[in-house]
Amino acid sequence: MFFHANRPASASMSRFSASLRFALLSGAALFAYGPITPAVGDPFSAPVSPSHNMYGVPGLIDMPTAEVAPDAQLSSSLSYFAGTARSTLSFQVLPRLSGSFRYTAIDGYMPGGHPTTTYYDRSFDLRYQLLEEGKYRPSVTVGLQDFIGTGLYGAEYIVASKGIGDKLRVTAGLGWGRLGSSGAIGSTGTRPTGLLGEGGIPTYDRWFRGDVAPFGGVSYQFNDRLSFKAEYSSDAYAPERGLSGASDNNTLPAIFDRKSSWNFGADYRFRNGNQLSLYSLYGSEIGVQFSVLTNPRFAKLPSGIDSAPAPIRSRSAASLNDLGWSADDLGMSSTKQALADALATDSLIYEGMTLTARHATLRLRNDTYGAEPQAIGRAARHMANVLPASVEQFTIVPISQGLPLAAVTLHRRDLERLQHAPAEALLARTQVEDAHGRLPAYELAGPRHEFELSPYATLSVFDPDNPVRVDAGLRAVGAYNFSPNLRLSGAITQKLVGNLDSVTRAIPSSLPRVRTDYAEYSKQGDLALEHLTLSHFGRPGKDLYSRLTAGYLETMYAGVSGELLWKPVDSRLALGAELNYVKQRDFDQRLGLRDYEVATGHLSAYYDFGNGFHGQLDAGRYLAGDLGATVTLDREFSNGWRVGAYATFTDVTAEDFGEGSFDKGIRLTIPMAWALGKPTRRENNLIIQSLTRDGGARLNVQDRLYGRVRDYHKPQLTKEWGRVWR
Amino acid sequence: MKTMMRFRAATALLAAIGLTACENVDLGGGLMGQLLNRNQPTEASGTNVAAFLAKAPGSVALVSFEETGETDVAAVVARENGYATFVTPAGTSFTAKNGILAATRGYGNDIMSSDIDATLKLVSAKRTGTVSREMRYLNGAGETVAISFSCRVQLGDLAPIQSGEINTTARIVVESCTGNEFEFDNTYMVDNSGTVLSSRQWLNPVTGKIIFQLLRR
Repeated sequence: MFFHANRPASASMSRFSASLRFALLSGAALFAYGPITPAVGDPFSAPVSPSHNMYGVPGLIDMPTAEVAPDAQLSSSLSYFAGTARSTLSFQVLPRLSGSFRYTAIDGYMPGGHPTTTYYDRSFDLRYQLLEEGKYRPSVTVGLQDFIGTGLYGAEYIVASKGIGDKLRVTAGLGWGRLGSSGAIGSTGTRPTGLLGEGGIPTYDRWFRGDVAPFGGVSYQFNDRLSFKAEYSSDAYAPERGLSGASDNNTLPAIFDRKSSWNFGADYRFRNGNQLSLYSLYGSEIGVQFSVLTNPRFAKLPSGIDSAPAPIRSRSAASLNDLGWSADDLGMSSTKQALADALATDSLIYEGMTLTARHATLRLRNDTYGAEPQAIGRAARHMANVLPASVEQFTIVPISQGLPLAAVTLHRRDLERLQHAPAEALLARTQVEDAHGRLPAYELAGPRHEFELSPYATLSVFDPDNPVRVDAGLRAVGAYNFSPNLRLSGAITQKLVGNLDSVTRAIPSSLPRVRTDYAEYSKQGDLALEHLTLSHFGRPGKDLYSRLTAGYLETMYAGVSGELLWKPVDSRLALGAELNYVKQRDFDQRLGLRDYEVATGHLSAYYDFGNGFHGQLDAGRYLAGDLGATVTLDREFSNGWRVGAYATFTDVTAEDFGEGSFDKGIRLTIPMAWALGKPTRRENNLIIQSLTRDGGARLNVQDRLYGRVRDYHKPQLTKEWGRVWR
Repeated sequence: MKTMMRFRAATALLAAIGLTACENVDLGGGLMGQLLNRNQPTEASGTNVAAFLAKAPGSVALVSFEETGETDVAAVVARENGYATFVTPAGTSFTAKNGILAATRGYGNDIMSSDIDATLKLVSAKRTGTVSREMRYLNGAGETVAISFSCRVQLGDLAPIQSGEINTTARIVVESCTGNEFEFDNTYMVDNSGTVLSSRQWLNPVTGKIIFQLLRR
């Protein structure tokens, strides 16, 4: 039920079998260097999207069409008519597959003694295009609407669309469920109306069953901006009009008068692709709809507007064997200072260097560039311009939390020769190896500390009493690094405004209340210690990374947390283990603890499928002591965008879990560099959890290893390697 | 943001000439000359051109964007393997091979690298012929994409050119390029020795064309 800001990725472990390792190595071999792809179409502007309907999917007015949005498009739509407000988030997962999440508020709809005058409903859709449009053939799409949950909008359809000339498009389809409720021409079996489990699981028993009715319509593209539409709707709006006989979804009084099956409308498309529509609906109502479109594959300023990198100056042939400098301590320290100064001009941090006659190894911290190859490239440019001419090999060891994440070795001759060549040419000459045991000593003087004061907001949505609750205030974050690997970190929040504490609805739970007391935490935690932890990060061996954290780990739990990650530098697979022993914190989020304590932990596997998809499996014991696993699948983009979904299945029964049957949600990561066109490592993380329950709940410990470690490993570096010369 | 001197009249004129160039190879060289001999701007991007010339030791160029009229001065900071990299006071850069644009940095839809050697050969030699060229960009997802063109190089008139410390006569050379999605004409003014002194070149479909003018070789 929360939007979690910056919830870190997941836990990890280090056991693996020989066969698994073999699979992994062969997987790594398959991972080709990012090739240069010939541009298909215009790589600088997003393709035109088909028009969206009142359900926020490609469609006419209230009916769907067979059209698909451009690959990777993310749209958010808001529509309103007859007291019904629908907000929909749709994502084109694959060129033919899309998914939608919808939150609906219906004013005046009170089915079966519903206690308030507004009814809130969540729904998920899936659409798959079976056939692409051809010269004579229409495109054909099959869709499942509201296929999980209570099924208020439950419908299935198969629909065909075809363009006739440039301006006219015709659509015809057959619908079941809601889309088969008006003007039925037959039926396929009987459609059950009962709920499976506690809701929240696919309503497969209903699909394509019951009455079937035709729908359809036309759209006419008047000009680039304006189009007109007419459709015949097969939706009787029976529940909203108090007509659905067997279902308990009936309401009285009717919320609108359906005088006609014909709808008419006009769409206006803005220059940026966004859509505003005005409709006449069912002969009695006026409707409006607005859709905002985003495509992670297209940015306004793809290569960024940060300052140009330093050109590499070649060495003179005579200077290559001049080793006079190498015995000179003074020369050495001035070389180091010169490099540190040069790196600072690009906001990169020099942490140390070992320098021999032919080889330099740089310890580099990058707090600036979200695209890691850009940091590597800029550092290499400065090394080539600053270091004595005899130094031929550069090894750059990027550091995060004191952890050496990779050893990237480049040849200076290649840098000089290839700086104007395609980036892939340099990649082919670059070695990425494990940095274990290759880290130059930390040379900076004194401990490092950080402090930041910033506003925060916590959102809670989907509570039937109040669909959006928010707390906002100030957060002070401080950190003190005793050494590069040992960090004391804390955060204090002061709530200034908010209504998260106004939750009055008792959340029933037959499990230990590990998360459902969130309203108490909000109520009593005006000035709260968000976390206060001492963390150690280490490299226990080759391919191994470790974290140990102790203290007040998160707002609701304190204790100790240990993590071990196995991640070879060129591997697409990682395995991890996390073990935590925690005690629940007092509601006031100061130093006190409550009675509940639990050992929780997971074994995790992470796999980069290499085609833009990333999978994660976490199996273990959750906060309520329940055993189970979480499956997460993300679509990832080279620029750092991620759109994914997760589901957690544990040994808690659907009855004990309560509404929703099991935990599931959507997560979204938006890199700020994509939006701003300026380098930054900041990103916005959003997790939309359908409901906050106690089953399948995980600890939110900070600084989990995987996301941090993989950034500088070969598969990730390869994806964004085009920026090495940026 | 940068404050830019605007040269709308100049660029509009230049655009008009450019269009003439693609339709008719018999270019209005006199007009082009006149244009290029127009009064030099005294300021670009808040930089005094004369002062900049006095301070910069090597080549200096004036760069402007045809669509926005934004103009800046740039000084060469590195020459490697035939590539000259010019940097503007605003921190953006251009890399060119004898005046043929090979890369840009800091504008947002930059040419990351390109294959322009075939064009370079014909333009420097002031010879006609057909060549192919490829420019590589980053797309919004952060991946490298290449756009290829087939180009016809043709010769126009001789025209006088007076620009900064340069005062000579140059041959107009036009490169007309066609690709799958885009097409453009680049215009170059090439002196006796084969040096491109001034040019108008296509960057990308978003930014359009860039005008280059050497103030000092």
